[in-house]
Amino acid sequence: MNLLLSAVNTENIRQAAMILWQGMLGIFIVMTVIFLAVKLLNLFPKISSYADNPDAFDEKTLFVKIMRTKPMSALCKKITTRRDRRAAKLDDIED
Amino acid sequence: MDFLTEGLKHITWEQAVMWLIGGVLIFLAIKKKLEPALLLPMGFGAILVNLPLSGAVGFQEGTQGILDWLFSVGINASEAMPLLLFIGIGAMIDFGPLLSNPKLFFFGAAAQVGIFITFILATLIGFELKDAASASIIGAADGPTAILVSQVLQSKYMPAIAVAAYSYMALVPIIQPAAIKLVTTKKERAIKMAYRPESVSKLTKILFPIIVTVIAGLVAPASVALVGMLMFGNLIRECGVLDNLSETAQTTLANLVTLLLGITIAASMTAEAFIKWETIAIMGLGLFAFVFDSIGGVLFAKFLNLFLKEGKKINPMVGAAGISAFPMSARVIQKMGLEADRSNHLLMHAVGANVSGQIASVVAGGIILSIVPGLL
Repeated sequence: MNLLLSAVNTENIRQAAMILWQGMLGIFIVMTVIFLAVKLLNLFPKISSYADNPDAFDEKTLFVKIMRTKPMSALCKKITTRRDRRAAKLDDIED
Repeated sequence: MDFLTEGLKHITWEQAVMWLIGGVLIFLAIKKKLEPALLLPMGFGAILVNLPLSGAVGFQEGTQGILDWLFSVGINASEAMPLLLFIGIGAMIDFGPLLSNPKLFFFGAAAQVGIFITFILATLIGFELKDAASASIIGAADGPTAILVSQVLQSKYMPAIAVAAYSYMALVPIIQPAAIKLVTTKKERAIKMAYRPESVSKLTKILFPIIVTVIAGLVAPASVALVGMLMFGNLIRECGVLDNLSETAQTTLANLVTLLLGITIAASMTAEAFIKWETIAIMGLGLFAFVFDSIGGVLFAKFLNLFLKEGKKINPMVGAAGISAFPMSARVIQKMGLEADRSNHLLMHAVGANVSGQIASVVAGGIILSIVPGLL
């Protein structure tokens, strides 16, 4: 066993172990960033659908659809009154 | 009349072994249909370059042998052949199943662990770092990546690595079920997963290749040639205005490069470079990497299941589809799912993980190319 261990280049093994750690971390970081980017893209399917086929949306419908997306409805609540929202057919977004 | 026997006089037993190896590759390609587009040209090339005084390699009266020239221009000088092949592969891939279920990105990442475990093993048995890195990349289950990494690192085992990468890719239906069964129970293999894809817009499909290229380029700059070519091919496919180019990349370009790639790699399959005990070790390491990639993916899915509620659990086999062998691996998982339960359809999940593996394997290659040269 000692003979085997002495034949092994311990410096190389240390470096290989470091590459295992750095490599897997690197791959997970890249894939996580890509995952987040795709999640972000998928957050706005209505906007994307509008870009694909603008004729299918009139301006007001598009506005209503964007405002009903999760991040925008929170913002909508902050910057509008209930009356504004009723006028814009967004009255299902509660205060 | 001596010139008639000149060739016979120069035959060595190593060359005869290489003819045999070439014959076996041709047999596997034709009879067993194992990756015939690559193994057949490689097999024929192995015979061609190992004929005594072969004019296909080396210099004959000032003229460079054709295979030597193809190798020096198409692989050695610029890595053009594997990179051009990536354009064709990118044009063939539909990332839709992955984009509609982005969680599957992580399975591609997890299933690369075999590469790095093999790296340690290869170092442990005495390979130099550059050769250990090149051998371990067989686990990427991605022939062009394996060729590119081993060539950039100037590994002397590149021909053996190419043969191993393509042979094992063809053997996925045999290797993966055995590896998966080692670490799963029948109950786990029978776990059903609901398929509720999110809608994926055309804009997302167009932006995706651009975003991936930028992210990979910023985090692992060495991977940008690989990722860039793959994603360029995919952008041509998804943009919707370059149907002719997409068709050409998927068929003519991919076929032409594949045709030349196999026989060009054979230029380096000379007896003196191939007949070594290390070739057998490389084959063993490649198998080890493939098995541990599959096991890594399965164990990652099992780890996630610890935190998921009943009914939302992931079938661990989907993790094994995170290797890059597309679409063989996804098919294997679907088949194994049906074997465990006749109504268990895992294909769409497995396809998503499988295309994620395409990206992750290329990123893994880029990361190895980023880290290893700095240590040499």
